[in-house]
Amino acid sequence: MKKAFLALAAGFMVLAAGTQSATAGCGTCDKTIVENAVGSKDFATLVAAVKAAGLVETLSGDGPFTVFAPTEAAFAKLPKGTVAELVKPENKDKLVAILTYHVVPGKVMAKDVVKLDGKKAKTVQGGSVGVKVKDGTVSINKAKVVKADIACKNGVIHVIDTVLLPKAKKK
Amino acid sequence: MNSCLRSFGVFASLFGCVLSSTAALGHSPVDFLEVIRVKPAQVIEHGVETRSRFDSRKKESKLEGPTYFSRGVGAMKRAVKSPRAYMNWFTIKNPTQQPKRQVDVLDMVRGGNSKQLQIGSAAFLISPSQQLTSGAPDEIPEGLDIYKAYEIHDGSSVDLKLDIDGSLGNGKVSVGKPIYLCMSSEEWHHDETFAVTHPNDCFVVYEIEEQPAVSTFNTIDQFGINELKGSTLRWICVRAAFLRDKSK
Repeated sequence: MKKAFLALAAGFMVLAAGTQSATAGCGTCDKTIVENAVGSKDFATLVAAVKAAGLVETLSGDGPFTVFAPTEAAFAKLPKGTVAELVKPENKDKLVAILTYHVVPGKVMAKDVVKLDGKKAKTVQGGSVGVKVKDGTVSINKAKVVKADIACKNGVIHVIDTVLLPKAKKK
Repeated sequence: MNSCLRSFGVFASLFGCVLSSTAALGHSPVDFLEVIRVKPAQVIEHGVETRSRFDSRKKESKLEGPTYFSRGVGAMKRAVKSPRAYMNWFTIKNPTQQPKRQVDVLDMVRGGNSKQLQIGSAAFLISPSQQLTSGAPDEIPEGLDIYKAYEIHDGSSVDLKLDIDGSLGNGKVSVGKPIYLCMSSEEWHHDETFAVTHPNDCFVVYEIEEQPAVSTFNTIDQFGINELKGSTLRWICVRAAFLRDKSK
């Protein structure tokens, strides 16, 4: 199942790459968050998940949004079969909740993220993520920010090394 | 009486000179910065628009780096003025060829005896940064701008032993030729504009004896978070004041 989505994502990437315009200077700031994610092989699973959750249109909108984007290595840390399970149509709500937990409203650049040390930031999902600056690294919950400030037309991407999982709502 | 008046006149003019020099050098939050060659974990390749006093209009500078990192140090028996002054240096990949120009600059090492420099094109863009340790980082000290480092063509060596209290502890280093003049520059990066706060504040960069300076710096600048691995201490920036462009 995961393979099928990766193939779909790869196809989407080829299609999108063909329509990208050359940019002077920045290289990412004239594209949306989705276009930039599609343009990087490190976000293949994320892009596949965003498509399965039906969030492409939202994350291509005006925003602005701050997206903490997990890498392929981050998804690989999840128990085997988790992604394949999440992208099933019957689990769409759960997938949307996880993905929107990675999105904070507004364009929050790294210099502003680090000011939130010890504080929490409210996500689009409704829950909050904790920000920590320790020993020269910035963490969002337990995920380390490995690259920051990929400026996009409708926000900014910060790359993280672990998938963020919201706390399950009590019934 | 006449000689007394003359002495007073000489004293007054000297005092005036010192006062005006001090005022001219008064804004910068840092007197000396050591400059260390670094290798970044993430190589930034990015274009920004800049305009210094030597540019008639804003121009796109294609940057790559950081290639150097600098931080405030104590020197000449002066304690470090702001230990929070950090700068990341980016190589300008598309330097605009500038005509050679003669400028007068007063710096803390050469003093008033040798103010004239001939400068050429800009080789680096220098951006203030913050060091990431634990907790929210300290703010960038006021008065630090973005600078463009222009090559100096005719700088004569100062052949001075300078006591520096920096990466290598407290010790004397041999200072040689002036190699760059760092002039403040406006910058436009995405939707942010960085203004020049003090147009006459500048730095003269001198060669020093190369020494190993192996350490890691986690920094945050206008391009995001980066880990910089230091290798060698190469240069020292000395606070200076721009007096005039003699080519005009």
